[in-house]
Amino acid sequence: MTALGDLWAALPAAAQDALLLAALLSPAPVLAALLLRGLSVGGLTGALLWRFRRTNLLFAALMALSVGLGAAVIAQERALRQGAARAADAFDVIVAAPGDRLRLMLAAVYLDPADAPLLRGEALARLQADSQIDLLAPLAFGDSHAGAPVVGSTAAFVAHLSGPLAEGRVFAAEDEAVAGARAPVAVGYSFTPAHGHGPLAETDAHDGVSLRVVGRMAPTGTPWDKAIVTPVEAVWNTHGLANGHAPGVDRIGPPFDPDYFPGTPAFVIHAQELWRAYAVQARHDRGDMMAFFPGAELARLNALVGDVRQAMSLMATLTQALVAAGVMAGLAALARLFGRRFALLRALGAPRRFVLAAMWSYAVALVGAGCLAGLGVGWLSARLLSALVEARTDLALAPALGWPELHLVAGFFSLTCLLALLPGLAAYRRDVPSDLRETA
Amino acid sequence: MRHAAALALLIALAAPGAARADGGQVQPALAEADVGHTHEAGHDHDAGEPDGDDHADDDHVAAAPFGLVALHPWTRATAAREALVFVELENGAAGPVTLTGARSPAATSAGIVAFRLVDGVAAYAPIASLPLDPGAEITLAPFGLAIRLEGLSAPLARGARLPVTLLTDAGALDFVAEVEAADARAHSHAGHGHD
Repeated sequence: MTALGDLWAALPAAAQDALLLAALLSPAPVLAALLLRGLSVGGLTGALLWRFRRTNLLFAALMALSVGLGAAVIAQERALRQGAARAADAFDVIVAAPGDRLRLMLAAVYLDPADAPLLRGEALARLQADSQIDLLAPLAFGDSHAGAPVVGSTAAFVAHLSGPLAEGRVFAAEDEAVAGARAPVAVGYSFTPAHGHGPLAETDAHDGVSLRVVGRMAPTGTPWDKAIVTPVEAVWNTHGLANGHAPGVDRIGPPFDPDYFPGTPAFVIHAQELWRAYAVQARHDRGDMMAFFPGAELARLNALVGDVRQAMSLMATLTQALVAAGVMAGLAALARLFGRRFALLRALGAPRRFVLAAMWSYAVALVGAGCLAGLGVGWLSARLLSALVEARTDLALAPALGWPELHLVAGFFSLTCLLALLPGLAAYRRDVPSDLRETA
Repeated sequence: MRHAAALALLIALAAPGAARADGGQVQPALAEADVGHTHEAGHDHDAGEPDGDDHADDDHVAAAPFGLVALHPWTRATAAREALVFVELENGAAGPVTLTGARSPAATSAGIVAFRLVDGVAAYAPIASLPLDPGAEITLAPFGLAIRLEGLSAPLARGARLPVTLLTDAGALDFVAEVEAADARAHSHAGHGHD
């Protein structure tokens, strides 16, 4: 067993998935070989399919819908989970004043507005002195323009988030800004940020301030695509605070002067190597400030809801099995209608197994068609759902039917292949003389 | 047609919640939550007095002569060939100590790994070394740092003891990890006081 287990563990994931799929599909060919051995039921099955084509179509369509929606929800859930996780990729470590990590993560990664206490000069001094940090950028939230969040940070952070800009250049002065890929402002456009977010934002709070868009980021597939990033100095100035530099220093960006640092709700930190990110996180996660990995918070959250998801998945699978059972009950009722014809066949010398095999093939053809069409329904619904979710969350989603959905459908198909024996057996057990008498 | 109506009802019930926890591929160790994470709030043991508590002579605390202290080492029961070992570390030395690796007589290889999301998928990646500042406390815990043992010679049963050696640039630190339940999220004694 151990040797087998090792062999299995040594296989690439795709091979494991393919083998699992084959195993899940295997009951059908085994049953077919047992039932159909030496018989030719194709003609009768085809005739059954054609004779009751409307009912058959309805059965297959219902199954396709059930299978498809199940697969779509799984695919969509995975796409959302991965899209949300990808959005956190640019945010190795977040440092903030002690508080709710989840809240801070939502604010920094997904730009969900939040009030957070500020980190001050001492925190800045400690972080700036840490030689293992490759990128240290303050994130100053709170303003917006035309529904787009206006966030203060640094040019290096823009480059880290977007890579090369799609258009224009990064800001080089305090009154410049860079737009996200889908922000509602064009390069060259000037605006005055409103204080706050949404309908309650005060549009006249920052009168006299004008920021000019000088560049546009490449799409990142994150809520930052809708944001406008300005130098953090612009946010501080706009709010009448010191601008992070001693008087007379005429430049923007880091390093900032701790003595003239008005504070920031969060720093985002990037370190080239993973061990350095962990060393930095461990060093700065202390009593007066917290440092955490948004990716780990997200994974923890995913794991927490994982149990619920598994229970829901089990329920969905069971319900699909119920659907299949319902279809089989329908087929059993149909088999009663065929009873007399089958009795005639039997009287003409057809073996009992022939009746069983014909009914089974007929049911499996319906289920197979339903499952295949279900994959199509699943693919379409997943795309539709993703489009809806993308519009609501600004996350780029890549919905695709993956192995878990194929496994689910294969498992469903095999289960229904077994259930399909029931209508077959119902036909198999019928009493020929009484069926024939009814014909007379 | 009566059946069709019944089926439509069933499908309406079936539609809402098909979902699976992990895309089917995440390693078991990743598919578990870390709700407890008790040590986050439970750092009430001081680096200076690890011997003054009620664990002085059991496996929950191990101290190396060069000053590194390991507290509450634990792992999860598993039949797999791989296990993650978690532990709280305190660097009581006067200078920095760098973790460089690990070994265990129960495994063919061992090393330090760190959790990360790679393109949205959870994974533990190996890291070669990890420096600990003097006085630093660091918790190896699910969704963070861990010692990964590979090629386990036997399944780990709950309640068993797993000897592990942590390698550092200052020397080695031996400790014995408690094998907790397969779905454990923290050491079973985690979170109690050590003062």
